[in-house]
Amino acid sequence: MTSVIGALRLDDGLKTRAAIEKRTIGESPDGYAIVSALVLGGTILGFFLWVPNPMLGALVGGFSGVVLQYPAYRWAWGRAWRKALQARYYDYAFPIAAELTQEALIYEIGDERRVTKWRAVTDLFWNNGYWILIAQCRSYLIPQAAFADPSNERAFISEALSYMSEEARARSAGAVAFVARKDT
Amino acid sequence: MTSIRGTIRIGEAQATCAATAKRQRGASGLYFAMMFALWIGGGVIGGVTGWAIHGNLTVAVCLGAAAGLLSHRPLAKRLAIALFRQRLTGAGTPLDMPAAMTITPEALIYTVSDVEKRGAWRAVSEIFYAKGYWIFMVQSEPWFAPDHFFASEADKRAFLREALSHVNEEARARSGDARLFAERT
Repeated sequence: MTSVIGALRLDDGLKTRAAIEKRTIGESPDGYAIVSALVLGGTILGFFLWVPNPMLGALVGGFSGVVLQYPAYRWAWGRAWRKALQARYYDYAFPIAAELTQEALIYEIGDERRVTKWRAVTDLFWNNGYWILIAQCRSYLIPQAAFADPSNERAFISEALSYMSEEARARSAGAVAFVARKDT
Repeated sequence: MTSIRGTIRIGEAQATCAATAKRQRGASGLYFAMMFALWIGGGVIGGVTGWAIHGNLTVAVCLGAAAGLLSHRPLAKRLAIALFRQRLTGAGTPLDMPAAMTITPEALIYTVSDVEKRGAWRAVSEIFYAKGYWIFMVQSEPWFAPDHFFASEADKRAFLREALSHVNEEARARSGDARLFAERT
């Protein structure tokens, strides 16, 4: 067994983000290129197509480009990310398991196992079919489909909330409300 | 003890990223508003300046708006980092945390304060160096071993050599920098 010990700043990852993204999503879509192409393209199109008032056309076209750049970038980023992950991993789907003990949340995803003390869990919330726990800036996803039925789901969320700190529970109002709701 | 099991496909939960990011660095609406403000503000400032100097609006408005848009990314990055730090400390998460990385024959173990992560070696897809950190990618998540964790260059080299001996052939092929460094005498 070999080990190294030290201290990390939680935001250390921010310094190295560009290098990490290059590795995780490979040819990262260039945000500047997408913004420039859409805004410039919108402005030019608006200028030439809006015959009664080219300046107003350019403004509307440019505005449309600003609005469209965000979903366009997200789409391009997601596509590149999925492609890079598939190229690196042997499996497209990861088995997950979440276990609640009095001391910690034990989360297994693929070949990785995370043991997280409850005081590190700061949020528990539902979004788009997933229960999400956040601990030390990482998210732990539990698909709703993993629960046998709503009462099973409610019991699990209720138990998780009971281990979390008062502040974390206050941040997880949606989960608290879900647990308090009666089965219909 | 309560537990559940299931399966997650790569990328299937992308729709939840916005909700998680909102809790970590604020809603995307804020960044959108910032982009609009810079775009319009840049255009107005450019227009006024251009009109005052040359009496020509069009080119100056376009240049000002473009400058405003291009300044969005660095400014948004600063804002995101500031909000991220603020939210973490506000949620009671300290910014400085004790950390350790341990190599065993079966797995790489990474402990940061209250979280212990254990990745089987086949989950380590590459090891590379960036800005003072050796980074181990484990199922697309970066695990950090900063230069200052090591007592000497020889220690660092030995640690990387051992880690490289456990990762698979593909991961070793992706970790060219680490291989070169570890083999240097």
